[in-house]
Amino acid sequence: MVLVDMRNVGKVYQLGSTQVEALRNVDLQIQTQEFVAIWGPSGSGKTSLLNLIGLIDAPTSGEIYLANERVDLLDDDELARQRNQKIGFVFQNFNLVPVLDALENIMLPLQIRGIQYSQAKERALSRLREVGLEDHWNKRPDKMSGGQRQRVAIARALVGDPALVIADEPTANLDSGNSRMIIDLMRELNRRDHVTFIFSTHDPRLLEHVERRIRLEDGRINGTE
Amino acid sequence: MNFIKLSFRNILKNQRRSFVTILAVALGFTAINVFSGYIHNVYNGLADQAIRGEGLGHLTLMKRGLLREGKLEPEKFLLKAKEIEKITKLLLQDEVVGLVTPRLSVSGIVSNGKVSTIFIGEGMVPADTAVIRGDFRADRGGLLDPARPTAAVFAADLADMLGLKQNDYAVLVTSTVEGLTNALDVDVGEIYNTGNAGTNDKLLLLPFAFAQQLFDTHGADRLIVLLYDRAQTVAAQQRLTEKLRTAGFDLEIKTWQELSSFYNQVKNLFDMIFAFIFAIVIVIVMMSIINTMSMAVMERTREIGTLRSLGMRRWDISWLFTIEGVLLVLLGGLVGVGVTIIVAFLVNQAEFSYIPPNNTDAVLLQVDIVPWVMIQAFVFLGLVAAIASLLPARRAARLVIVDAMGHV
Repeated sequence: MVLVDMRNVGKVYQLGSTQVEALRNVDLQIQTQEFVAIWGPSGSGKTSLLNLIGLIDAPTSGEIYLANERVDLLDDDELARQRNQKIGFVFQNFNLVPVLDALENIMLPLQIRGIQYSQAKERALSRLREVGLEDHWNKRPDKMSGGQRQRVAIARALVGDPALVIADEPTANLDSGNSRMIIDLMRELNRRDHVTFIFSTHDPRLLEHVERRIRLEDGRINGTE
Repeated sequence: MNFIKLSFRNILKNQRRSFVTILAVALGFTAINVFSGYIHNVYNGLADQAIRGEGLGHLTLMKRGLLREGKLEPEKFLLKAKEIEKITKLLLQDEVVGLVTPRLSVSGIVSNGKVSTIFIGEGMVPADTAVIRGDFRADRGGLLDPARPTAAVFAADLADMLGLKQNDYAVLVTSTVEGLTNALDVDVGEIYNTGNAGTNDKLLLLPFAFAQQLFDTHGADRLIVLLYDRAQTVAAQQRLTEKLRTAGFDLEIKTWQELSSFYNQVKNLFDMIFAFIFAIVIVIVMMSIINTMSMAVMERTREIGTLRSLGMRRWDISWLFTIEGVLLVLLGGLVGVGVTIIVAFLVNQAEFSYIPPNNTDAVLLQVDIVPWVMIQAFVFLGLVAAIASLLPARRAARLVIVDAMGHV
């Protein structure tokens, strides 16, 4: 089943008086449960593509469907709802909320959804156990290592049982040991929970583990392996 | 989503900035409370001075037009003895009325036999003057002696001007109700300081019957009503006016506040100063909150992008920062309550005194704690904080997610 369907999508950024064409005529389909890497040189449009798939940016042209629902025309509130319910994000810089501890960070998407505190806590604890950080539940991000923070971020991305997790260079700020652990963890969750993972990366170790690699160059898809 | 917890933790995270903001709010709030506590004390003092010191009571009943034309045609505005009796009986039926007593104003010349000067006299029932005065400045004296029907209370400066001492006598020359000249000897009863520079050189308190004799009448020009509770004044005014109209009396009833021009002048002045201070505090609070929240939005731009990507709506972001601004002001307000209590205690203990304009005596500078004013100011500042937070909060809410995520 097709989860993400992009049809002739283009994205143009206006930088002062200059127009930068970040994506050109992108046609892309991603199936459910896929483990997909988007790779390419810097400035090739990887992040722009992920932003459009993650509904945090709007295309300049073309159509985007998520689980067969056209999403590029939705209003802001509806986009927020779709992001909260269908998409999880893992960021290069972890992007945890500094004043919340690990458990509270993981609970965040559920609380935004309006789920009761006790239920949200139970589900967050379960995800925290899955990423092996149950003993660190009350630590704030500044008291955790980079690897631990990214595991918390993955738990946060998965706690709402999304159909899709988008990870923008998830291992870019991690050492090789932690990178390996994060890759294995994402792969395991992809297989076990049948969650679709799409991520951008430069990391060749990560590319070895993916089912499909989509190469971007100058804003165009330049081959799928 | 527990916005309050998130906001509170962000306040704690930026301790120094939050402390400065809370301090600014606390000091502003304290300034409002201390000044409002001071003027509350002054208003109460002036009210007591008008009602009990000057003997205005809470309500004054008179024939309609007395204040405008009473001097030209006094006989037209006099209440006759039978009318006084009926009206008094009617008024005393009302449960809030404690006392009804007649009054008669006379004026003329007072002489010691060698020199003379003008006086304004107030004829009052001696026994009732003590009731009206109550315990207000009981040590100051100035009460008519019921046992001395021809003894007047002289204002201190008036007695000084004429070189009169207690138990001396003077001559009062006035016009009667029919415009004839009348003169009576009067004994100098007490001599007392009215406390008001405007009256201390001309006021005479006369036994009511003596004043009637001077004016050659059996009537009175006013009836003074003392209530059990000052707060009932306006309600009683309306109710009694209606009651009297129903009974066939075309009288007007003035409250002490309407008759005490000094009270009104002072109140208007202080109210204006209070409004000025309040406006300054509001500006300080608004600027502090806008500054603090703008910095918070700038520092947490990436966090805003993250929260939006997790599914928070623009409105949620706006609400989050608004709550933070309001919390800062509420914390400042709580600190301000504590500081107010301490400042009020210290000022009251210090017993500073000063001589207000138009006064002859020094009065104590006292600060009252007025909870309802504090609550009103607290709520108002909370609203101001919400409005001040809206600007940075709206800016936070309108951030483009990808731009916010890329913010360093």
